[in-house]
Amino acid sequence: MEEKNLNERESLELIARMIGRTRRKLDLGAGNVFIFWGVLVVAVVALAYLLPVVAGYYSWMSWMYMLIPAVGLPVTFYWQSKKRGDAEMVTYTDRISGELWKLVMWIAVGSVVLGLVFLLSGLNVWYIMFVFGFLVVGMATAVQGIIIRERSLMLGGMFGVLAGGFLCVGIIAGAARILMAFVSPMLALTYILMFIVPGCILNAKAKRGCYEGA
Amino acid sequence: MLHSQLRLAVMSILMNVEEADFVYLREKTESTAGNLSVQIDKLSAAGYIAVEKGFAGKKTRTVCRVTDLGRCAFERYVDALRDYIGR
Repeated sequence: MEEKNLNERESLELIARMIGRTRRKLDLGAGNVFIFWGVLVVAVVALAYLLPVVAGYYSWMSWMYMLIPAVGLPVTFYWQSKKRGDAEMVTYTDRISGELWKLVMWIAVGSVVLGLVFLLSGLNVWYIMFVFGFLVVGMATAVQGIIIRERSLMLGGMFGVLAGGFLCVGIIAGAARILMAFVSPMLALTYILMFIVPGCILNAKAKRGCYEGA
Repeated sequence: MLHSQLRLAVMSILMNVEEADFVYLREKTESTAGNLSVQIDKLSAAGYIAVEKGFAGKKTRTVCRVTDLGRCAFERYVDALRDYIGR
C-alpha cells in the first residue's frame, strides 16, 4: 500500500476492504481446548469412580480430582503461549472469552480454598466442587456459546446448569449422600455434552471454514 | 489526518479489533515496515492510537489500539464521507 490521498469513494472502499480483512475464520482445531478439558474431566471422574471399586477405597483417592487442574492448567497455558504467533490481533470476542474463563479459573481457586478451610475446620464440603463443575462451568460454557454463536455450547452449558441446579436442590434438601452416589456418572455425561460434543462440532465447522468469528 | 491511504487503512483495522500488533497491520495493509512505522507514529502523535512496545519472548512486539479521540475522529470522518457521497 502506498502513501497517497484518496477521494471519498476510494476512502469508503478502503474502509470496507480493511474491515473485511479483519474478519477471521474459526481457527483449525478451535474445539481442541474443549475436547481436551472434556476428555480430562471424564477420564479423571472415571478413574475416581472405578479405582475404589477395583482396588478398594483409600482416603487419598478423593484427591484424584486435583488431577484436573494439575494437568489441565499447565497444558492450557502451554497451548496459549504456543498460539502467540508473529502476526496477532485481539478481537473484542477474544478479550471477553479470555476474561470469562479467567473468571471461572479464579472461582475454581476460590472454591478449592473454601473447601480446604472447611476441611481444616473438620467439615468435608468437597461437593462444592461438583456444584462448581456443573453450575459455574455450565454457565460459562453457555455464555461462551452466546459469544461465538455456537448452539451446541449453549445447550451443553444449559444442561450443566440444570444438572448443577438439581444437585444444589438435592444438597439443600439434605440428600447430599444419596446424590453423591450418582454424581460422577452425571458429571461425565455433562462434560461429554458440554465440552466434547461442542468441541468436535467446532472442529468440524472450522474444517469446513463456515464460521466467522467477530 | 485520515485522508491518507495507509493511515485510513490502519484506523479501519483498529476500529474493528481490540488491538493489533505491527506485523498484523503490515500484513493486512500490505505496506512496508518503514512506511507503516512512520504512519503509526503520526497517528500516535495525533492521539488517535495508543502504541505499546513490549516483548513476546525474545522478540520485540508493538501493539496498537485506537483511542477514544481516534474513534471519534474516525466516526466523524466516515459521517463526512457519507454526507459527501449522499449529496
